[in-house]
Amino acid sequence: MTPYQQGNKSQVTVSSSSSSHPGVWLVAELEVSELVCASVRRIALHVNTATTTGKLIFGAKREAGLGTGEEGGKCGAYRPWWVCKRPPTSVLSPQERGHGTYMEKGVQVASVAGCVTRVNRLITVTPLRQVYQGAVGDTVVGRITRVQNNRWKVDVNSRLDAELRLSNIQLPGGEQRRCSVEDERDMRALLTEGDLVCVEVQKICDDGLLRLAARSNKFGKVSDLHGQGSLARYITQQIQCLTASTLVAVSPSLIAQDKQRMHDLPCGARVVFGANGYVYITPTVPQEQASTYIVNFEEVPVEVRKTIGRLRNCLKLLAHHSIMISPTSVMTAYDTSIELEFEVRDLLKLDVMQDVALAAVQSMNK
Amino acid sequence: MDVISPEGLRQDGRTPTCLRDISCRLGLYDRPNGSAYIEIGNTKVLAAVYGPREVRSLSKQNLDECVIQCEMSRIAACQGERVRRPRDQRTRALSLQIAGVFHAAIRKTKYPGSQIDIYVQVLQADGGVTSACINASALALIHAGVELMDYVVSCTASINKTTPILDVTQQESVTGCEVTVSMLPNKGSVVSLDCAHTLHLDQLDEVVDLAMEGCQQIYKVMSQEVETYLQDKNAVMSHQ
Amino acid sequence: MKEVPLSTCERTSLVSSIHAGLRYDHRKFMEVRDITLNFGKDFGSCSATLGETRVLAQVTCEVVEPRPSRPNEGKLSIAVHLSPMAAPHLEPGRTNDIVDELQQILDRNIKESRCLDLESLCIQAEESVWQLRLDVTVLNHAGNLGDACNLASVAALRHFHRPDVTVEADGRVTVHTLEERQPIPTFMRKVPVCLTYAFFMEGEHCITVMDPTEQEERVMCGRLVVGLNPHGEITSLLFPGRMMMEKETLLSCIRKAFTKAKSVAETVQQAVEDDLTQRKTVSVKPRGYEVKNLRSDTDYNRWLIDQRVDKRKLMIEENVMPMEEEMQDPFEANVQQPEDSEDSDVNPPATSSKTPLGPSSHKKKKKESVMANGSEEEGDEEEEEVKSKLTAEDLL
Repeated sequence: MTPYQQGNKSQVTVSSSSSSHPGVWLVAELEVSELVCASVRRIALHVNTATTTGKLIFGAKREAGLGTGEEGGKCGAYRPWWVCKRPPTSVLSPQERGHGTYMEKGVQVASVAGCVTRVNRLITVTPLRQVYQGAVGDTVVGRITRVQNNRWKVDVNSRLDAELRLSNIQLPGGEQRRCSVEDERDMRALLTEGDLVCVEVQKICDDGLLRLAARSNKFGKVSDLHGQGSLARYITQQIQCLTASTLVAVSPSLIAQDKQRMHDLPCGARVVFGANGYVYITPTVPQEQASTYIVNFEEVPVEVRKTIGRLRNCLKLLAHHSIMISPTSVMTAYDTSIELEFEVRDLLKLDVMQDVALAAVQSMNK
Repeated sequence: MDVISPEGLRQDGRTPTCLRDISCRLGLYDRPNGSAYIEIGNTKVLAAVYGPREVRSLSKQNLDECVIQCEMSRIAACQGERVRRPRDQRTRALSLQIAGVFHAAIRKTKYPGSQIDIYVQVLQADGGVTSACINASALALIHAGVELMDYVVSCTASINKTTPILDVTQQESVTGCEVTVSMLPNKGSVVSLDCAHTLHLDQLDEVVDLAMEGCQQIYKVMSQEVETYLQDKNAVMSHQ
Repeated sequence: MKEVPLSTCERTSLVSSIHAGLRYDHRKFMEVRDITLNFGKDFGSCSATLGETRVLAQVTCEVVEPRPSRPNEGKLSIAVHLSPMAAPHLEPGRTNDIVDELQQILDRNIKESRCLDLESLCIQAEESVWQLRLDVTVLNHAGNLGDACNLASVAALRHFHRPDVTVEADGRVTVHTLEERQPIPTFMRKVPVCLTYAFFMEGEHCITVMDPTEQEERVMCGRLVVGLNPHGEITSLLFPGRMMMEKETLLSCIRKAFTKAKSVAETVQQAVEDDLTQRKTVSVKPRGYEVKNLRSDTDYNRWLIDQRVDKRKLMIEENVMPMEEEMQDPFEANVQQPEDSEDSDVNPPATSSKTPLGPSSHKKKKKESVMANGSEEEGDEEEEEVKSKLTAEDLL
């Protein structure tokens, strides 16, 4: 199969046959002056249209609303409407520029092709695919690329490698002490190039650099992100399951918003859905083992490996068909693939991927 | 053999101001941040964009804006004669040109300290190779979500005796000149102008004008494809 | 070696002065730097200077088999060489962006424009043709390499004469040496000229400048390279992006280039013809490349000294500087004594000039050499003394 033949068109048929979301695929061009989005939770007004690079973003009437630019992002329960493009009715002041736009001669122009979101007077255009932009508090999975003086550089699928400082990690054994010079020299003993870490975004610097932290309970947050805070514990787990774990890279925009990033799936795997698009799959470790620091080099059974492989292929096929990735969708795809009796390696074939994706979407809609 | 027959048609049956069939696709590959494929008649080009990402060599890092690099390569079977080296001086010069075009079009100040790599692969070359490469790269950049000032569209034009002809094939360009114009269609400004073989000064105006008209036509096709792609993807993603 | 970055204040001052209407070398915006063409002893060797930029082009020829697709035509291959000699930040041996661009410009202007009649290079169809190889070496990079390379190449090609050839009846080809038969000039139909424009943008306003220097090239926003010939044909156009331009601005630049191209082409023609006529008057056949205008440091110093000596001689003759003569005697007296002790005269001039006895030791040296020769006239001696004194002073 040539790479440039896609099965995208079939997806439209699937969606249109679904009856649970009426009016979603209203693709007619409408002249609307005011748009009301039926959303229970948010009283902000969203204009969710697609615009292409270079196009003028028309300025709709200003409406009162709540919410910040971040909240007014994608997903949620509102319906996308298509609106025809008109010249701007009002000239927007510079403070109303959002990401994905720029001002030219007093007119706001889109610089990416994507969804237009308007909250209050802020107009943002979010492209469908983007490198990970970063949001404070996100859990991300990253790979160490460099070990520097007192920090590690982590590749988090962003436009710059993020920083993980020695002072921001929990030292092994759960000790609470200041990092000394010896610790700096021993950084490689903790984390070296190529290691995977599951960390939290602490801060976003002005130039877009992400600062990461691997502490738990720092701000009194309940660590519902199991094992995320303790780096050492995580490392132990990692060593244990090194031979059966896998990392899948998908576009960050496909990862569903979720408070909890680490999930223990019923099939016997723990999946960390990094907000940056890196998804880490590992076999579930029994709780007793995890609390101790004993390194267990047991042979990982074939079934466990198959599970991991299947999960990984399911993730890949969901990403390929641009289906949002969440524990539900992954489990549905997993179950569907077992139901349809596909071998793990069959899931790599494009037609099989399509079948499983369709079936998964259908069962999710029920 | 005349480029334009007495009936006013070209070798492939087109009128002098007619573009070849264009088809393009966004998002072929998962691995690169952005990918695209374009077919302009028999010219087929694949483009992949990696970035913006951390610079590979610190010596090239620019802390004010991003670094843009382009590498163009041709497969051995892209032309009638076997191409000896996929990357030679010619492709390096064209790569520089493509990178130059996107230096103007990408909003570089948005990505300080980062690097954007554009990889272009020519699968089949039948005239208008540079413009196909630029069009494919533009689509790939849009797919990657890189901020651009505007679309970048490119087209070739030539002149045959006194008739300007649009979108020349390899055969047509051998006998005459080949002018490649890249522009930002919504702004109307030119980002690249290139002329191979001899052209008379007086004819330059009409050839460039024709090429710019061709660019606008190509823009329509490209933006249509991008909008279709957006609709499809947006529909699926916000469905969840 | 890494390129020395241009400091922010240099950059700002360059750009702002251009926007104010002034170039650092006080040229007008549309003024090209001085062009000089020097030809070597051999045919086809030309060194072109565009201000400080210097490029050397050499044409050589060889008999080869023609390309199967073009059996009646000779071959022309162009190679550009850019080494750290041109600029220290250039890496030796590695392919460079600049080289690729120069190669493209030359290929388009000279090869693809077919300005050189390749059919005249055919000896025997499908069997043997002349292959001309043009090697362009950049000697000094001071901006606008494209124009300079093109100038040198075109002049070299026009200057080039290939050896005469006789084809026997049985198919043997005899290449005659330059002594046997007069070499044959290459036939260049149209002289392609390359002109470079640099653009400086400030907001909407765009300033066009011709023939940028190296510093201007570093701060410019964009560049347009136009290859033209005086017949009004555009041989190549290269606007490699990096900025957005209005179509009209570009086209008007190209049109203006035409008038300039004519004058440059004429300069080239003239220079070539002058050199060729000069050669005819010289009976010695050329062999090798003679460096004419390049001067070494020692030569330059010698020339300086000669100049000053002439001047002083005039002044002494007119008795303008009596002090000079008076001063000479006490030094001479001093010199007499150390001479007997046979001091070594190996004092480097620079250090000896710092001491008050400096000139004397020099004079002593000269005197010794004079005595060694023994047949110097007094006038010469005086001259030499003055010269030696001047050497020391000058080197201070």
